[in-house]
Amino acid sequence: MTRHTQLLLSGFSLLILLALLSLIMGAEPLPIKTVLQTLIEGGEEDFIVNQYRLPRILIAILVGMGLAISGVLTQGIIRNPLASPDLMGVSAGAGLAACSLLLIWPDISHLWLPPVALLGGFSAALIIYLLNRWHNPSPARLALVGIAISAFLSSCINFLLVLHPIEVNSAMIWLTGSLWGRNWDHLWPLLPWLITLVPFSFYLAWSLDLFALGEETAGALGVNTQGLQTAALLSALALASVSVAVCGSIGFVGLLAPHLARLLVGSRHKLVLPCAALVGALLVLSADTLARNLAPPLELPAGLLTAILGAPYFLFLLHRYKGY
Amino acid sequence: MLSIENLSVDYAGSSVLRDLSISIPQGKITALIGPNGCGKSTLLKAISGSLKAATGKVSLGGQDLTQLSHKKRARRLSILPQSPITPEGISVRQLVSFGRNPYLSPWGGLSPDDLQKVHMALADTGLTDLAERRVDSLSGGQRQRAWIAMILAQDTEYILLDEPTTYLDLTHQIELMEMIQKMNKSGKTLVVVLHDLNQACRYCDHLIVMKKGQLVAQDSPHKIFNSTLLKQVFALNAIIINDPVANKPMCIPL
Repeated sequence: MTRHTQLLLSGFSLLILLALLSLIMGAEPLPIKTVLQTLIEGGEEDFIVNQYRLPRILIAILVGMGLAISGVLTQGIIRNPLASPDLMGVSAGAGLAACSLLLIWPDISHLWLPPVALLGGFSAALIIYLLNRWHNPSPARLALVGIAISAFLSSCINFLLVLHPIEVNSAMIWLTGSLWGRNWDHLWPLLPWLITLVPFSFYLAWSLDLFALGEETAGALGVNTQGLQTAALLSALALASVSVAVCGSIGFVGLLAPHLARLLVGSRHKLVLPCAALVGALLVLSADTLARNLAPPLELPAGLLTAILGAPYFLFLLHRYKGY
Repeated sequence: MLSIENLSVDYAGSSVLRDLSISIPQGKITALIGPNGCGKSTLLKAISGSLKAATGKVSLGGQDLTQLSHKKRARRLSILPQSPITPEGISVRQLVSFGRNPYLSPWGGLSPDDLQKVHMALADTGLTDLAERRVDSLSGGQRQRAWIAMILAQDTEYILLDEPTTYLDLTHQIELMEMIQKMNKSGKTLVVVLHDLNQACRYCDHLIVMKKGQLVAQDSPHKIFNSTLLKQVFALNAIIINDPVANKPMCIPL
């Protein structure tokens, strides 16, 4: 077994442990025996374990994976260390679309959330593409345009929430990203998207490795570079958008996870992708577990906790790539 | 045979190549020479398909290259750009195995045959001992050999190299030119963009001379390399003597 497989396996074990811990901990802590029993045969604590904590944990894992893989794909294609779905306006666009949908039709089926969020994310990406198409932007400039667009779209979300005041925890989802009140109804709409897009992104891994040699070299080696760019960016867009559709924009995961993964396993995408997915899942799950347990029964939004970690790292990256 | 017919390429609004017709002799080493900005790199990009031609076509054995799929084209013709991006944290062996891309099925990894080709390419470039080293930790000369090994693993009939000697010291330039001759002896047709005119004459069988996007001359060094040509193309006053070692023309600037 290679060092990298060991690393991935230990990451996976850590995720399982964290998930168990997250099932035990909460406003009402449960003994592990009760948790395991309830998982298998239900019982008195069925609501807390199976209906409340379990779906929320699974969503945290899926969303973390989705955001992380989206970040790997974006950074791989744009070859920009600062590229990630939330810094490029995609998350804010998807959030605005999903939030508007729910405020206008509160009773609409959750199945509509991912496609509508996708439309929002796609529109935001299109605006950024149009703003940058005249010249090849530097990484910092691209990030700057993305942040400006994000700020504008986020203020649209704020405005909507002022016009249609809702319960504070639900509002937090769209303001900072939170898993509050997420349950099985939110998990199912997410699943088909991730089941198709995650394997598809793994399928692109080898071509992404070649793309890292530069567009010209990759093309000379027989990679259909335009096709690859389109496929990878659309997948990245969709993964980020559907994640945001369910729990808002949990910031910086798409930026942090790929960087951490590269630090751990090098630059080959067949390793970076699964590793980043694990890191992303661990990040969101630990953020949400902390969010539930720091001051129970009060909840903090998970997005706030990832931002505490992510914002300084973003500043570090800006500093490091000053020369761009 | 690789032939270019009436090729014109526009780039950023202005025409970079104008009505260029060139045929690359098979089984030979062809040097592409001309002053900076004469369109040499653009020509290679047009041949590789990374730049679209405004008019004209590039064909290989009578077949239009744009009609071939990306992978099929990459099985017949390889090209090493002037400054490929060295990826971080990739080993030499991994880089060389990228050369096998045109032969891989979408899901399959490297076959025993692919691994054998990678092994051979490493051996032919003297990189076997460095195979597990990271490409970004190599010296300039070693790194260029690693790129050449990748091209060798691609195993194409035609090999196009864009200024492969530019960032190398003289010893490594000679080493690389000799490697090019070795590749040619094993049956490859090579097109090499070079700045050193004496190296072009010494190591290459055929010269293509370009100026301002147009063809000035194409033939063997003995036939076309003279002081009139140097004056016309490079605005250089020089005398031509016989290179006593290679018995090829050689220029000495005045």
